[in-house]
Amino acid sequence: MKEISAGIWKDGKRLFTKSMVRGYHDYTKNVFKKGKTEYREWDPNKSKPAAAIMKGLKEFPLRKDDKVLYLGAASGATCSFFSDIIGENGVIYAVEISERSARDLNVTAEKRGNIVPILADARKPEAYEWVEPVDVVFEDVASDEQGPIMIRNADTFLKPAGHAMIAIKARSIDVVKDPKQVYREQLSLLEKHFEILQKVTLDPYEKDHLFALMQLKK
Amino acid sequence: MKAYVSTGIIGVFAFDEKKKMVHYNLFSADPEFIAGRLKESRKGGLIPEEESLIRDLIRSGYKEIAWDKRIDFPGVKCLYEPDNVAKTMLQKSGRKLALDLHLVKDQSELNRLISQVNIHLTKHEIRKEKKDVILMRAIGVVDELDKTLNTLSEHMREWYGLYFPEAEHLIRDHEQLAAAISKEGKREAVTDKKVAKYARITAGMPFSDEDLKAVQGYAKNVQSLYKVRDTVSAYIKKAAKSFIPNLSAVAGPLIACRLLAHAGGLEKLARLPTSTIQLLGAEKALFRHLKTRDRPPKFGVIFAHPSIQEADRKERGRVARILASKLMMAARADFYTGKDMSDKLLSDMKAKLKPGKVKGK
Repeated sequence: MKEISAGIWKDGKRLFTKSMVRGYHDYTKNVFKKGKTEYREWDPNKSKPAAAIMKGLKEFPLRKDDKVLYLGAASGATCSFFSDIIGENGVIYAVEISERSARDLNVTAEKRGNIVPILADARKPEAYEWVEPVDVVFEDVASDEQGPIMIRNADTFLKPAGHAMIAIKARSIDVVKDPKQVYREQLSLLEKHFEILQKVTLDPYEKDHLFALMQLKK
Repeated sequence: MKAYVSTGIIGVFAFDEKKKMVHYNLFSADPEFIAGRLKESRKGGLIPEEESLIRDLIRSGYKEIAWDKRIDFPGVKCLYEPDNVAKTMLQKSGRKLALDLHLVKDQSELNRLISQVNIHLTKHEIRKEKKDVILMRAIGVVDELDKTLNTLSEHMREWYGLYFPEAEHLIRDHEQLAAAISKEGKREAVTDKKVAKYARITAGMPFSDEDLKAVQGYAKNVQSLYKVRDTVSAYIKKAAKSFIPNLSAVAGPLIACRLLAHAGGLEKLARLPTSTIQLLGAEKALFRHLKTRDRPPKFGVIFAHPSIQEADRKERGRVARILASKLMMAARADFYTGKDMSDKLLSDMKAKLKPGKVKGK
């Protein structure tokens, strides 16, 4: 097993994070034990950042102790892996609009201590403007305003030269248009604010999704 | 002198014009307590920590206080400045302050505190009663039961039909057949006169007691599922009439709840335009139309409404538009006023539905 990025291990075709909470085996089907340490398998079929790594993302921006703003946290599956990576001195501000999902997110947050659940609309950052400046913003929301949401949130919360990751869902933006066209439109919006470091499509893990890693321009 | 005040997760803080912190009032590091205070403060109320901070500021000679909420306090001028220095200072250096002022001993303890506070706040939001969400779940159960009961009943028919095909053929209603099978079962025991006369000349095969008992047990369960369906739908009818009187009157309670479910709640339904309401539930057909230029759908869940069912095939599109427009009004009346104005809506609709009003037909 090899550490391919801070806090992320790869063994053959499988990804792992070092579990921050012993005995916490949610959102994973395989736990790999090495002495007292537990590694949780990070399934690319269920988590877009993991899929992006499998599809050849060269550098994953998360580091230990990072502060993260996570838009569209859903029930907190991917959050739990981010939470492993950043450790207890880092923190994830997990924004989720659906009360049903937030119910599960709360449970995930209770068990981990470094996830802050926020029941709010990512289109309106004013509602959670108390959130501190963050090192990384990740957006995975189903909205036709994906680009603008990222720009608005990065503007408010992202530190200078901070990293941003976005999973662009072509089908949520326009069901009819060709996904490639949708990606181009969103990226051209984002390019005004970010330097786009790398982009990978997520198939076969996720259909009609483009994952982009970006850095805030000065 | 002017001071800027902001309230955050760790407490209430005042800064002067040079961004220097002049007074503060820390919360105690108890998540539930902080969540309660934040709720109150964000609602616009003055919490004790804020009040005592204002007093401190007055004592220190401050004449003006800028705040991100509208407040009045005797003895000092309060200004409403949503984007004030205190807010940005607290956002940027809250973490450092929490440690410097010994609210917590380290980063991870602070993270746990922020996390716990927000878990409380989120729970508080989720806990609020939302009648529309309850109705959406209930109608989901009724629709699922309808679908499943159809399949289950078909199986029951085929099974019992082996033994007594004439009964299966003559009793068309699934629920009645289920009742007959579970109660009477044996050919000779069937009381329905139309059916009973076939008992001796049946084309069915013989069933042993064991065979019959098995199908009866199954029929009994099907029958009880019909009862469940009726209980839930009776509940919906009653609850919908009091929660969404206008929608229930115009659409009928069950269709009204299906509209809620498709829109994602009463507030969302109330914000939809007529055209979307007309097609709620026809998303598949609509997107097929948009993608392939196939024929556009004319109605979604409102298709089951009597006014469309009774209308001439050619008239159905027009009726659907009129119905949807009244539903739009009904949803807004229910959400924004809560008043029952269904009499007017229904009479308006009746007038519009008169065939004389058709344009250019």
